[in-house]
Amino acid sequence: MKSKQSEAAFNASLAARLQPEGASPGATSKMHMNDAPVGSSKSLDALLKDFDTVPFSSNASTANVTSTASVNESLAENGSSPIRRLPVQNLVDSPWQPRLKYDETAIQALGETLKARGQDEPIRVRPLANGKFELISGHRRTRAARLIGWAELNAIVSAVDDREAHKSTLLSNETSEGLSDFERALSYKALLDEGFAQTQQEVARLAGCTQGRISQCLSMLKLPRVIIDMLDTYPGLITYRHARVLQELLLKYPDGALAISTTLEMMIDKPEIEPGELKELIGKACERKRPKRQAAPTRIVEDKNGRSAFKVHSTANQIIINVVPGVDVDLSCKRTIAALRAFAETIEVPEDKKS
Amino acid sequence: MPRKPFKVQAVATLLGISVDAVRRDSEEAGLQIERQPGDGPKTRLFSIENIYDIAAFRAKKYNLVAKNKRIITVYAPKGGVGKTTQTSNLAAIFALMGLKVLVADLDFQANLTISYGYDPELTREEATENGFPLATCVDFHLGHLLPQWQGNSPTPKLSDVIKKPFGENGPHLIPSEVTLDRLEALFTVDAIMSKKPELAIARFLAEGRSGRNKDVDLSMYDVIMFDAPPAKNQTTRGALLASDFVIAPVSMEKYSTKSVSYLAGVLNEMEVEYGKFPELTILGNFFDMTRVRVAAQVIALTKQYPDAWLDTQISSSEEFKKVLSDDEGMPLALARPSSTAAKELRDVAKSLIKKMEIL
Repeated sequence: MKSKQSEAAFNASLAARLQPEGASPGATSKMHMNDAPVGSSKSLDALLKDFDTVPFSSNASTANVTSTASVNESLAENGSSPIRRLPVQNLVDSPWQPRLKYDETAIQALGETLKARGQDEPIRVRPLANGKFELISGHRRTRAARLIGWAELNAIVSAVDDREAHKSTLLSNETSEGLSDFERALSYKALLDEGFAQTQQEVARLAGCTQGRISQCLSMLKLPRVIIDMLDTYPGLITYRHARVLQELLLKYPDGALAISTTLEMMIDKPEIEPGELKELIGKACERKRPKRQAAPTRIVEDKNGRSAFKVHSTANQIIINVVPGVDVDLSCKRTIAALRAFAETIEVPEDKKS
Repeated sequence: MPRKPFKVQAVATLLGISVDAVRRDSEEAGLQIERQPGDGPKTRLFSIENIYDIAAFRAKKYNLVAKNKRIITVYAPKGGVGKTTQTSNLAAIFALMGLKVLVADLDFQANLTISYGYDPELTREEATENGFPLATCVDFHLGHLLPQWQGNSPTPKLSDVIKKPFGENGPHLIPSEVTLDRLEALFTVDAIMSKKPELAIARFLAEGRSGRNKDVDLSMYDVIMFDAPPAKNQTTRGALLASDFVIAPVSMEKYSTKSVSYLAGVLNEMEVEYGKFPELTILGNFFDMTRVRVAAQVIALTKQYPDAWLDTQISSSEEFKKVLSDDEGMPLALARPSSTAAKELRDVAKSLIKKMEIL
C-alpha cells in the first residue's frame, strides 16, 4: 500500500529542498569568515592614556635603557671597542629565550634582508666562561646568518650577570617579533616570577604594551595541563581568543580537556580555524563524548594506603592511563607492558583480512 | 550654487513632523522664508539652510541632548558597496534630527565632497574666471590638520578647513582633494620610524573633543563620521581605531560578504594590539530579500555576525543614480525626500541612532 507522506515529513523535505538553494552558493559552507571581536573595547581616552604616557613602543622600553647603560659601564671599565665581530659558531642561545619555535620562512626572509642590506644593528651577547658568547638579543639574526652562510656578526659584548641577561633577553625587541600569545604569556610570567615586575601593569610598561594584553596572554596559562603540553610543542597553535573560548567550554564541560585536545590537534593542519568555529567543533565533540563517558567511567587504581595512583579510562580502541605525580612513570609503563604481554600470550588477534 | 527650493510638505517629510509644525516652528524661530514670486498663491519656499535652521531650533526647543557622542567610520574593504552614498546621506539625516554632525572625507577621490556640491579640482583662479563662488573650491583636507603634515605648510585653523554645505546647522564637512593621498606616505614614514601613525587621528579627535585647542575645537559635535576609501591603509586604520562604530555597507553578493570578514580580521588585530576597536555594524545595501542570492548572503552574515547585522536595509534604487546625474549638490535623502530610498535611509538612520545609543 502506498502510504501518504505525513505533514511533518513533507515540511522536512521542504527544508531539505530549500537548503541547497538558500545556502549553497558558497556562502555559508565553504567560504572562511573571520569572527568579529567579542570583548569590550576601551575608550578613546583610555587608548591614548596607554600609549601617550607609557613608553611609545618597545624600542624605548625601560629595560633597554638600563641595560644599554650597563653596557656602557662595562665598556668604560675594560675600554674595548663597542662593537666586535664575533664568529657565528661561538654564539649560543640564551636559556631564557621565551621563543619555542622559529618560523623558517621568517628566518629565510630575514636572511634575505641581511644579504641585501647588511646588518643594521649589532646583536647583543655576554661572554661565557667557556669562551663562547650567550645571546641576549639576536637569536633570529644568528639563525638567519647561519642560513645564508655568514661567518661573523657585529655584536655588542657586555658582561652582565644572569639576572640582567635574563631580563634583557625577555624584553629584547627582536624577542617579541612574531611571538605567539602563548610564548608571550611564558615570558610575561617569567618577568613576574623572577621579580622583574611586581604587577601586570609593570609588565605592560616593560614590554611596551597594554595591561589588557598582558592579562589576555597570561590567562592562557590557566588552561589544563594536557593543552599546555600541546602548546609547548606548538606554541602558535591557538591565540588568546581561542584560549578564551576553551576556558568557556571547560566551564560547561569540566571533563572536556581530552576532547578539546583531540579537536585542537586538527588545528595543527588547519591553523585558520576561528574561535567561533572551534567552539562549535569542540561543543559537538564534547556532546558526543558525554554518553560514552558514562558507559565507561574512569577507574581509579589505588596504592596500598588507598591514595589514587593511576586513573584509567578506555575508549573504543584505546586505554588511557593517567599517572598521578609522584608515581614512577617509567616503572609503571614497564609493569603495564609486562602485564599486557602476559595477557597477549593468552589471546589470538584475528588475522588481517587484507594480507 | 543655486539649489532647488523646498515646499512645506517636503520640509515636513524631511524633518519627520507635520506641515503645521513646520509653519509654527519656522515662525517661532523668526526665519525669513522666501515666498513664491508672481501672481499665484504665495507658497513658502524653504532653502536647505532654512530646513537645517528649523531642525536646530527644534533641537533647542525640545532640549535635545545626545546621550553619547559617537565617532563612526563607514568602511568596507570592497569598492562600490555604497560607502560614500551612505555616509553622505546619513550625515545629512543625522543633522536633520537636530544633531551636530561633522563628516570627514578620507578618500582622495573626494566623492563625498563632490556629493555636497564642491569641486575639489577647481582652482581659485578658475572659479573667479567662471564666476563660481570661491567656497566651491577645496583648499584644505584632514591631512592639513595633523602634525604629520607640518613642515609642508602652516597648519590651518579648523574653521578654515571646514565646509558648511547646508549652512551653520547642517552637517559640517572636512573635505578632500587629490593631495590627501600624500598623508598616507607621511604615515608610512612614521610607521617605519615606529611612531604609531594609526594613533594620529585618535589624538586629533581626543584633543579636538577636549576643547583645549581653540583653533581645533570639536567639542560641539555629537556625531563625527569618516568616509573611508576602500583600502586597507594607515589612514583607514587610524579612523577605525579612533571610532566607536564601523558601519560596513554590504552589496549582498559574495565578494562584499567576504570583505566583512577581512574587516573583522582588522578589528581582531586592533583588539590584540590596542584593546580598542570599533563595534561592527553591517548595513545591507542593494537589498532585495526576494532574491535567493541576497537571502544566502544574509544567512551567511547573520550566522557569523549576529549582533552586527542592522535590521533595516537600503534597497536597490535607480533614484541614487538619478540624483547623481541631476547634479544638485545634495545627497538623495535631501534632494528626493518622498522617494522610497529616502524613506529607507531615514529608517536606517533611526535604527543606527538607537543601536549606537546616541539619543
